[in-house]
Amino acid sequence: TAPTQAPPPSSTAPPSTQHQQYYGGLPQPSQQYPPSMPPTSQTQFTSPAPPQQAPPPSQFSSAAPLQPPPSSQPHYTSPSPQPPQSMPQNYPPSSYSGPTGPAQPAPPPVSQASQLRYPPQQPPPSQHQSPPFSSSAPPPMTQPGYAAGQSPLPPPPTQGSFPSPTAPPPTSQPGAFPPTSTSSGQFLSGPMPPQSQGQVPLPPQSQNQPSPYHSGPPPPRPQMPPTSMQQSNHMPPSPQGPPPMGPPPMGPPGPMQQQPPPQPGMPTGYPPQQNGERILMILNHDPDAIPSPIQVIEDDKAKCTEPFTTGVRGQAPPLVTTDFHVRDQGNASPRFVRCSAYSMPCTADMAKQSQVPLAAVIKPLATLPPEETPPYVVDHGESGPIRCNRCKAYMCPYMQFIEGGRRFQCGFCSCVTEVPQHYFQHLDHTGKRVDCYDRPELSLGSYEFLATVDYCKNNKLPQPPAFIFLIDVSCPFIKIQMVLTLVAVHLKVLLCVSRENPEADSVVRVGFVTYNKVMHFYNVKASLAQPQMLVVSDVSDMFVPLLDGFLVNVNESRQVIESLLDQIPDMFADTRETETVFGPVIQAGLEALKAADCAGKLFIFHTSLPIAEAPGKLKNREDKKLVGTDKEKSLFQPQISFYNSLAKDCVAQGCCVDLFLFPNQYVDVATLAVVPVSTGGSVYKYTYFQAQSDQERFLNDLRRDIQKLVGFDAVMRVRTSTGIRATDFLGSFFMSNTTDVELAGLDCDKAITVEFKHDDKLSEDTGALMQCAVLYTSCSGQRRLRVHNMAVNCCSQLADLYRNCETDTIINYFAKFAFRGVANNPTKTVRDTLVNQCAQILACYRKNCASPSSAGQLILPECMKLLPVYLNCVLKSDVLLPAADVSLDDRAYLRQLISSMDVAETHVFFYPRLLPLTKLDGGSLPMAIRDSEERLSKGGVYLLETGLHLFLWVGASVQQELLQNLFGTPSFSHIDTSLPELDNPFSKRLREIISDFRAQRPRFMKLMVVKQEDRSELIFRHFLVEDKSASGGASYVDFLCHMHKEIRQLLS
Amino acid sequence: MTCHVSQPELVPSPRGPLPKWCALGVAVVSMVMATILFQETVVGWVCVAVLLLSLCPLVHGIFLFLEEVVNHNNRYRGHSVLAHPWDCGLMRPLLFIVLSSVVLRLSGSPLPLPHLWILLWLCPVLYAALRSLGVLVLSEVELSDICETRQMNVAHGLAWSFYLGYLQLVLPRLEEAISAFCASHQSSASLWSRGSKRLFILIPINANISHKLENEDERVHFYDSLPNSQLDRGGVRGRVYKHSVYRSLEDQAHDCVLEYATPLLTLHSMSQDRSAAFGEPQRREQVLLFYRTLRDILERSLECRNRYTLILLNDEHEGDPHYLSKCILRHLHQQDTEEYPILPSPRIHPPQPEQTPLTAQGQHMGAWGGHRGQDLSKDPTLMFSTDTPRTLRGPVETSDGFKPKHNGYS
Repeated sequence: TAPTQAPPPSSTAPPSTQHQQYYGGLPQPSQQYPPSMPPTSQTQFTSPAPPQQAPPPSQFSSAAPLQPPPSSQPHYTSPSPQPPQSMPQNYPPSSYSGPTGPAQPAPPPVSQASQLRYPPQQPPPSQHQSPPFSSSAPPPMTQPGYAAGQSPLPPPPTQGSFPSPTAPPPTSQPGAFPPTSTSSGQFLSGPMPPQSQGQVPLPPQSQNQPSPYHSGPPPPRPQMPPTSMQQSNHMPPSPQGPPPMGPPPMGPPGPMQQQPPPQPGMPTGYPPQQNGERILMILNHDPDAIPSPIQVIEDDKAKCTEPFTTGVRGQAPPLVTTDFHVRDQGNASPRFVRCSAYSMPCTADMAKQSQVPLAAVIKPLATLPPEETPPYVVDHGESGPIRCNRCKAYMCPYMQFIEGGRRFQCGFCSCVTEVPQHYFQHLDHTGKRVDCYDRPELSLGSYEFLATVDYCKNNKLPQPPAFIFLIDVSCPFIKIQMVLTLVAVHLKVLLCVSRENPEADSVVRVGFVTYNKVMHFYNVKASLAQPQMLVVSDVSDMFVPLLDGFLVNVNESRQVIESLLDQIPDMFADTRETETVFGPVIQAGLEALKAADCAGKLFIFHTSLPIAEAPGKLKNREDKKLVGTDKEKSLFQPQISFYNSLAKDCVAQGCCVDLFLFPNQYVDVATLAVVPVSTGGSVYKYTYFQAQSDQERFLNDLRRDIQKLVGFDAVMRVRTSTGIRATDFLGSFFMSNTTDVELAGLDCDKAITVEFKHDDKLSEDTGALMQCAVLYTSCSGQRRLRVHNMAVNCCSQLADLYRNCETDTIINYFAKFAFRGVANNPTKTVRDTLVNQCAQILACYRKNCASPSSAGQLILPECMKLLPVYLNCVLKSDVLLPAADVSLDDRAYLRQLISSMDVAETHVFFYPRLLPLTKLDGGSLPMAIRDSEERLSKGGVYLLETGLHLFLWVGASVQQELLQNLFGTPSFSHIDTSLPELDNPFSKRLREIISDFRAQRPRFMKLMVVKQEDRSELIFRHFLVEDKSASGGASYVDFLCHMHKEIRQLLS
Repeated sequence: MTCHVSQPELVPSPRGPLPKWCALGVAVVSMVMATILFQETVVGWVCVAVLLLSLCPLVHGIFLFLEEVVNHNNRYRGHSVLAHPWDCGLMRPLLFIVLSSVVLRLSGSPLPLPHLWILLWLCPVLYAALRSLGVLVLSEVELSDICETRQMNVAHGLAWSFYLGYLQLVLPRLEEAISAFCASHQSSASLWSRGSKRLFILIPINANISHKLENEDERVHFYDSLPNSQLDRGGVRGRVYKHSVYRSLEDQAHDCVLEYATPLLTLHSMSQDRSAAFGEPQRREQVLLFYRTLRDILERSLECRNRYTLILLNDEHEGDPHYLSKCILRHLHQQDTEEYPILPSPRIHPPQPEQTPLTAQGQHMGAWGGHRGQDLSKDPTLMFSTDTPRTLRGPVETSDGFKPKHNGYS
């Protein structure tokens, strides 16, 4: 009776050991690592490279040229005379924290400093024009090993040439929220009588004034001059004549206007909102009567008392916000697959009438909580997984065995297929196979098959994947410090890899490249005493100058790698190269993987717009004037098509690209992200990166990115029963045809949203079945096939559809659909489409399912109660409705980020979680509150989580005791921007909650302490999504009214 | 949801302008074709047609006018009927006749004049004759449309009377009465929900009303009466209006105020009375019309808003003994869980001086989207001014005007 407890079949290798390693908890955040070496360790450059390490001459395009060997091969410096083993112990613990002032990293002797200066910038001019070296250079000259210490290098131009660090920006928050930019405009818009100005200090007021980007319909007097005097004069005098002490009429647009309407019984909660000619209002006696997300979430939590079993077809799972256990009984766990409707309409007409999107959000490699069993691995032997003859669906619980078990009928296409001899089993009296519960593929919703060689590329078993790290060492703006941090982190992270995942570590190979205008490849072969560098200056036709020694096993070459990582910061410490390339970087990684004939992942650490002359060169096209116009869409399209074709090549090779951006200005994320997005990679963006404040985030992101479960060279296909078809896919992937989703890399955080359309009628008896099969190469180099099965009901009554849908999934679909659409349509059109579709959904319910009711009532089906509020959050997001201070890069970044989010992530992203922290007792979290400023109390402390940001809001009149507990200071004005680690239960519990939150999300969230009335509060307020937004987004109440109006228009 | 029927389909919706559009469309197409066919003479042809068409009602109107002149004593309140010639439909035809004659004169007749005269003589005469014989009369649909748009049906009268004479008086007091009732009946208080504090008005399509709801459905029980409300009305001192609270049981008990729409009794009785000339089909039609009219009236009514629920009971569910309770519970459920009242209100009223304390309190209680003094750092006092409204002035004058005022108050 408990099929989930069925042991894996005997033929199956016990899968758990392998998976548990992946699912293991995150490592502790690493401590600050001292990245820089003591000056003394850098004093010597020796040339340890034996000549026999040199690759064949034909591999070179060397920047090293026609000069005598000693002086003309400046391409490798080897730093340390000390035995490499001893290096880690030699790090002084204090060397990191110092600022990057020029003095500290400068080595004492001047001559050494000159050696530190890295040569590629100063090659003889002939090098640049010289053709690849291969034909002309005699073999000995191509020898990469080079003793820098022996070479008469030209002295550096100036010794003290370290670029002085640029002044840090006021905040490390991405450029989205310059804290001051709106305040003056806000001030102007506020209706303010002169007396009040004289009486009350202005500065706090300026923040509180309504935004000039006023939401909703335009106020009746949009041409209002800013002087408050005139504003008040525009209002008709009150009939009684102006009493001296009475308030004057107020400017209508301001939300400060609080006169209740004259009707008795008007609640104080929602005063009227100006709507041009008339006011719309909610006439409830308590403001909580509009649907509350918190209420719905809490109700669902209360309802969910026992584990969710997936055996019953068409049963909607608990919400993503609910903590629940899943028992797989034949359908995929909601952690893998979530559907927008668990009761699909039978006919296309019904689907069209209701406009409810039929979508599934699939997260094929999702991480399961430790108490749930990861999918079992099934091995069907030499002949591979058993499949339907016609539609090629894999064996699953929906296959019906007939004729005593000799054949089976496919649940998807009804084709009858012979059961292979080795798979035959008798049926019991109910027609089930006797071994049904012993075989995961017959009783479970999710499982894996071991793929045979037929499922591999070129019909040969895959090589283990490789990780290649490509680091931008052009330093126009980024301080050396950052590179130092970064490299140190590398080391650390790689060590983590070995500790956390020994199996994967034993096979994963790594390689290193640095680049600015030219590419530097590193030979880190284990047999070398010191790493060697090879420079490729001809980036127009990229190739990899070395085969052997570029991709190495971490464990074997650890010392060489560590020595390399130690040297990189110093080698480029005073680089003068400001231009950089990007296209050739990916090409280089791709070529390396091609040469090694394996799939893999590129980790690119990039800083600025690639303006150097090379394939994939970009120009700065940021133009704020285009925002809000019809041409805005072009800014979301890639600038050049080069990266699209490059992405195609990457996908063909199984080369997944992860991009870490450290921009200080526009870098054209829309174009740079093309390859990562198409290959299933991730983009991380650290605007105005500052080592102190951002390194924790970067470190954790990088560690998590390296360690997370990832499948390479993946192909996903969704099969459905006849009647529906997967027509549209949304996410980070590449599609060369209409059915196969190709992902060079698919990690455990990537979700793909699939939309289904009818092509025929469905039957209520059989329901609608779908099977998502993902073929991928695991980190250990094993080819596997993960199968998720999902069955939902079909209904002929629209009411059933509306009773069994999930708003969160619908919103996930809407958001992805809309965000994809902004590249092809004006943003306003996209917004209107969303509103219109939502209105149609609700109007269809009202028309066909609800009892007739007064036109003044907005009717929301119970499952879609929150559709308006969530939709409003999507509409107000930075992508669709940017505030004036949101940069294009931020929008492009969010756009690609959301395209691969799953339901839980989009939920918290669009409707952030806001927790009051006044009382923290027990192990349970305090109940969340709604994202509205009016819910915040001046005496409280609140934690707000969006999945990308984490805020701690501190009210102005918080009790001193609480402040003391949290910040170690009783004074509000002395609160620091970070949270100190204090030894009291309250502080501990808070930090525990924060680390819990961080563990739940795929990206590290930096904590930002926001003081009430502080400038940074504007940023925080942006996430109070039920309020009007500074960019003109409607408040929740306004939007409900708007939605109601739209519905009425549709119905009349 | 089992008893759900698509009620929008039951209730006739007002007729649309389709005939108009068709007529205009065909006319435009015909005119274009005629222009192509007849070239220059088209104006003449059109004038002839208009002339003929206008002459017909004119002649008929003259006959009607004669009757009015003869019998004008008991109508028009003693005024001469001559003051109302347009009542007989004389003016507009006359206007068109004059216009078309003039144009015809100018453009020249496309017909030989004798033929034209024959047509102008015979057409109106025959038209009037056919009208009088009942051949050329308005169709039933037109009549019904006219009756509906002019609200001339008996159902309209009943609905307006029901609203003005009853609902408008009792609904505004209903909530008070329910609160008082809940206070006095503690056991009942928990059975009221957000959606049930309304008057549920039952409208059976067959107008068959039983005076005790228990007879309709045994799951609905009379529980008690709401406190009486008394009104001086038409000379009656303290006329009593009372409502009955019923308890409907399914899995769980719900209390609500239920009653049939009593004007339906009138309709029902009329259908029983031969002299009313009111058959069952007409009754059904009138009930639906009553429902529609009442619904529209109540939609527009501010004081009744959200205080009533109209429940149309279909007569196709006679077999189901619990149809009534199911319908009530379905409405209750929907009102509790799915309905959110959103209403347009009249224009904003200029702030009244006596509202000042209210306003201040509203701000203080944090009424408005977070911009309030208590919770956040905003200082609401900034929004208030003791300044009096002044005329429009330039910025310089503003500061000038500011000083004396300021001095005056400080």
